[in-house]
Amino acid sequence: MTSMLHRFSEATDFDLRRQIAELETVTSSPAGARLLAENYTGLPLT
Amino acid sequence: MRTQVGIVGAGPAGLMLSHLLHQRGIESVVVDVKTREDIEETIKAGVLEQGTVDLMCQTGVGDRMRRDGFVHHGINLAFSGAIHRVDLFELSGGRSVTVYPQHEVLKDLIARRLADSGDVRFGVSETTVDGLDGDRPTVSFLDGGQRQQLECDFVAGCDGSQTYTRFLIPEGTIRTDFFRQYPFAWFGILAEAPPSSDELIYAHSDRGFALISTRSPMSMCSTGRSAPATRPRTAACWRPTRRPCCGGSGGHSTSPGG
Repeated sequence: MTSMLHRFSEATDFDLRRQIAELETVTSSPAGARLLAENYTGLPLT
Repeated sequence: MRTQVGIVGAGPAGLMLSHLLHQRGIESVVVDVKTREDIEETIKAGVLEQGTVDLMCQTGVGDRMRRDGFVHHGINLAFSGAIHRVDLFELSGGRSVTVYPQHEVLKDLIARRLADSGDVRFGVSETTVDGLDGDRPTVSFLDGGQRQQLECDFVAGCDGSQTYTRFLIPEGTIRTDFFRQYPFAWFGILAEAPPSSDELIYAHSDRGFALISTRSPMSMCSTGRSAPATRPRTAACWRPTRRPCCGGSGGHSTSPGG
C-alpha cells in the first residue's frame, strides 16, 4: 500500500504511470483485487 | 526472581504472548517502562486484521471487541479522479478487518493477564538484558526504586519499533535486517466528528497520499497525509532467532496503511 499510494520525490513520470497502472490492476482486475483483499485482511502467520 | 519467559514490552505482542503462554501452562513476567495509564491511553493503530480478531476470540479476550468493534467489509481507493471500492469480504472468501483501536486491545489483554494473576510490571526503568550467550539470560530493571533481576529460560523482545532488544542479537550471524527508510513522515489529525465515510478511503494524488480512517464506529474520525520527512519513519523485518526472540514492531514494523 505504501509504495503504491505515496508520491516519492525521486519518482519519474514513468514511475507515476506505473503506480496508476498498479492501482487500476487492484481495483479492476478480479485477480488483482483478490490479491489486495487477501493481503489487506491478513495472510496466515505461518 | 525466576521465570520461564521474560518479556520486554507490554504492547500487543508482549501481552498476547504472555496470555498465550499462560494458556499453555508456561509462566512469564512482562516489564514495560510505561505506566498502565500511558499504555491504555496512547492512541495508536485502529484496524485489526482477521487473524488477530480470530486469535483474540479463540483465546477468550475478544468479547469487548466483538461487541464494540466495527467490522469493515471493504476499503476504497481514490486515484485519477474516481473512487473504487474493493470488496474485501467477497474477494477474500469471507475475511474482513475490524476497527477496534489498539489501546482497547491493550486494555482487554492487561485486564485478562491481571485477572489470571499474571505478573506485569508497569513503569519500570533502566531495563537491560544480559547473559544472552548462555542458557540463563536475565532481565534487570528498577521497579519502585528496587533493582530486580529476573532469570529466564527465554527472553522475548517485544519493545516496539524503537526497540532495544533487537540490537542485542548479533548482526550478521543470527540476525539479518531487511530495512527500508521511507523519505517521508505522516501527519495525523484526530477529530471527534461523525465519520466522513463508512469505510476507509486511501487517496493517491499529485500532492501525496491521504487517508481517511476511523477509530470507532460512533464519532471518531482521523485523517492523515504524507509530508516530507522531518523524522523519517522506518520499516524493518528480520528473521527471528532462538533466545532472545523479538515480536511485534520490535520484529517487524511498517507504515500506517501497510
